[in-house]
Amino acid sequence: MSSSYVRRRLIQLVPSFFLVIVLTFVIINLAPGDPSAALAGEFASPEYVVEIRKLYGFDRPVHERLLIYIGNMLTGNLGRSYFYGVPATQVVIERIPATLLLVFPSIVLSIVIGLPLGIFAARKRPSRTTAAIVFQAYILFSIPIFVFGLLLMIIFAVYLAILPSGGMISQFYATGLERAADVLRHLVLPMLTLALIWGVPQFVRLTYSAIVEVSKEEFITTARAIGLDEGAVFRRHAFRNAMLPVATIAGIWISSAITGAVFTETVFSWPGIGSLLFDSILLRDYTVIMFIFILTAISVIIVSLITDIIYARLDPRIRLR
Amino acid sequence: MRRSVSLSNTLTLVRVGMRDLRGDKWGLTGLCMMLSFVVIALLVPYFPLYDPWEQSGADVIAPPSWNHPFGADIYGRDVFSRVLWGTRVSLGLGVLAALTSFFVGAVIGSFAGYYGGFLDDIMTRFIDVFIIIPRVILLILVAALIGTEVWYMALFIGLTMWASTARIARAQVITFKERGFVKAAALLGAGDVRLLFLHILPNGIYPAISNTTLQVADAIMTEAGLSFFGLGDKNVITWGQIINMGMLSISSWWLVVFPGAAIALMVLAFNLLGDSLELRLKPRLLR
Amino acid sequence: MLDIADLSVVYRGYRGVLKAVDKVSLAVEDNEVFGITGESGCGKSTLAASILRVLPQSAEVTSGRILFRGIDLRSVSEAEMRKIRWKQISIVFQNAMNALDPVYKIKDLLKEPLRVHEGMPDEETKRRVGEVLNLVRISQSRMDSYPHELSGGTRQRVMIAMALICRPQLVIADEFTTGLDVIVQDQILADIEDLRQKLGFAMILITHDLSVILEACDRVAVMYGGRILETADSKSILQDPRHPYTRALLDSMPTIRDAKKKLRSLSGSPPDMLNPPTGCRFMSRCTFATQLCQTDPPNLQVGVGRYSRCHYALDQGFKRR
Repeated sequence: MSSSYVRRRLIQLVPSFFLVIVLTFVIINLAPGDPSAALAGEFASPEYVVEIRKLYGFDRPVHERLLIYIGNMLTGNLGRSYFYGVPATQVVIERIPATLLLVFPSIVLSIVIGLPLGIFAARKRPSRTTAAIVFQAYILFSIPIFVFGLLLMIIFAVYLAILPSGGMISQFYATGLERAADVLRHLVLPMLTLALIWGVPQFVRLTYSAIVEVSKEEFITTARAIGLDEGAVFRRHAFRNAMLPVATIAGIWISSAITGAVFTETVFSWPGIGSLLFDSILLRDYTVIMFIFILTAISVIIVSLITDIIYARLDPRIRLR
Repeated sequence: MRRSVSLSNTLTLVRVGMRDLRGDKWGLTGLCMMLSFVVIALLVPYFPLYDPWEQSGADVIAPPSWNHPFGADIYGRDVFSRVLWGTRVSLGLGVLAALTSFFVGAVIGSFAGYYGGFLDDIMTRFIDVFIIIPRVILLILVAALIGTEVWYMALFIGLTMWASTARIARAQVITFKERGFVKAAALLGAGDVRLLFLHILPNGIYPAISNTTLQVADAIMTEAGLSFFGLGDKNVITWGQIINMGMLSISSWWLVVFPGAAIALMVLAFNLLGDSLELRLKPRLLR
Repeated sequence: MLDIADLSVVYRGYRGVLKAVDKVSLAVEDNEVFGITGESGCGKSTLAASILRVLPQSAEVTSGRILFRGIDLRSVSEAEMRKIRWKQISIVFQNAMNALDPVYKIKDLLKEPLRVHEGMPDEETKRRVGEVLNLVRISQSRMDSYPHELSGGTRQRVMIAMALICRPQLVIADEFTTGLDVIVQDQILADIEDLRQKLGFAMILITHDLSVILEACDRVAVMYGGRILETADSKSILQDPRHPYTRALLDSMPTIRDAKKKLRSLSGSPPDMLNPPTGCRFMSRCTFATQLCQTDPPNLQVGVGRYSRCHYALDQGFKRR
């Protein structure tokens, strides 16, 4: 596979990152009133406001501000979170593992449930089963994730009281296996929420429509004409081609997964970036919010790049560009 | 010539959209649901309901009852009335956001596709980034720093959604740019803008329509999420707001279920409608 | 070898039932080249697909019999049919770009029919693939290419190679020269004729290009509106057409000799197959039509192995008016 493709895409990263950074800059400066006061937030002390003003250069003219800002970005200096007293970047980075612990298993669960369901629905069409599956997907997709999460919590944690209602651990002094089990118990509801509302409907609909579209192609008829049975036609031809479009929207998918995680964490008080975001909103800790945005935006861009490269490996039509 | 182009195109659009409506159960369901919401939204002021702002010490966190079919919130306000009033904001905001997205996206996408070259390269990069960045988080940043009046929110939400419309518009313009009738009009002396908006766009608009309908659903969902975070306009009633309250007093399930169902139903309606439109308005491929 | 009697195929859509093939009968002998010609949409491809039973889901064979060497293709089980597909009867599709699975290399595409029908050891398979590539004059170096990397003519040759790799007894060629320039077309036709002599198979050549039909085929059937209007050997069809439609087709063909002759094209358009007219399908465009033509014309025998569906078939042929 051509490495020039990879190189080109990597180079394209730069303007994308730049764009994200400029975007945040614009937003900060659009805040009505004194930007440093706005950024510092309602509850900040005067000293903090001064600190922010100096760091971001709000006492300087705009063009200088942009340069200072970019400089700060590059050195990873967004200022301190006034609430935690340590650099905003540090506060955020500490919470990343918890979010990953939530997101990855959810993605896996979504694929494990969604993909086969989508395939099943596609192969059984037209039938009531297919219609039922697709309709379910629609409904799940339409329920707001936080509503579903709250409902699960109300049913399982409040009324039935069989699962914990929030947080990541209940037994503070447990270690090893016990600790793992504790975390797992706390993980169940948030993971189910994220997977069922964000992941499963996405994959079901995606897989379903991809297979339906591919089945209309002529090479599927050729495959049948050769004498392959339906199963083989599907496995060897329909499926491989159907998976290609799935990979192309991976970028958007990841982005919405992160958004879903934000709400889920908030509802279940799961100590990841999402709930940090929520808390920061309440506390008006804007430097933290800013960094979360920049971090997630950049992560999504990178992940989408990786999936593009993987896609290019899979689709022979792209490989030799 | 100009008038008839747009008018006849709109009529064709409606005719094509209405075609075989009888067989399309899902699209029809979506349409009916949406229309019901519109009716509710318009007629709510005339319904005999509790004043949605009226607080009542006696009914604080009252579960559903004959008096308050959907219960009452922590200020004793009637939830049923609040949910019905919330329809207005959700619908209005969703449509406004989607329209904003449509216009901004169509203009940017069209120019990118039409002029091509370097401008196109930059714009495409721009579009690509906007498509993948997590919009809700961006909106949180915006809402937190700039303000949360409801109309601004609608506008901002629209301003984060324009990218997908832009992509569609760009692709359509690129396709139509080379078509005979466009070149003919150009030869007759039509300027760039006229060409774009009077000739290309009316013909290329179809895929964007279903996309925009879906975006209404998206906008409503996004707004609900933002109000849930406490970032909505406190002066209007939105469903997310009610749910936010439900999160704080967790055993009051009625604060979650009813507004939640309302959101789900409205989003479902626009999703069904949008997907149905997508199937119908897709240009028929030759066998 | 192939005997089709009264075959009817319909497509069921939301707009109604479309009669694509209406009581078609024809017979193909061993080692002969049988041509089927007609305008686009007259049902030729549907006919072809129905022989192999690879019609889309919306299509249904409503009546008729297809006998292949005594086997009733309509009543055999799917498993039996799969054995017959490709091994006994193969098909070359029109648009090779779409008919070849883009994620597979040419050599893998060619190996597939062998995998299905012959349990050959690897060595043998490789040999066959090389052999068949030679037959269609594609260089061995192309084996590792993907379909999109090849030119149109080459892709078509790959399809032909695929069709021949199991040494079938009947090859159905569905418009396989459309979209190729005349020179390539000529080459391919000559090559196929060569192969036919060498390997010995019968061919059904479907095309709307009358000149190809007249040159390459032993016998011809002219199709219109889902029906076969005339069947004859190609020489007789050219010299003494017994159906106004055939006459009109011949008239519309430019020849080098009569350079000054005005081209007479046929006015009107093919009938609406959702609601076909009663009586002769061709009536509305026929210059010889009379009142009698409002009744369905019978299939009259005009000579040995010659048939025509016209009331006036037995009268001395439709000379230009």
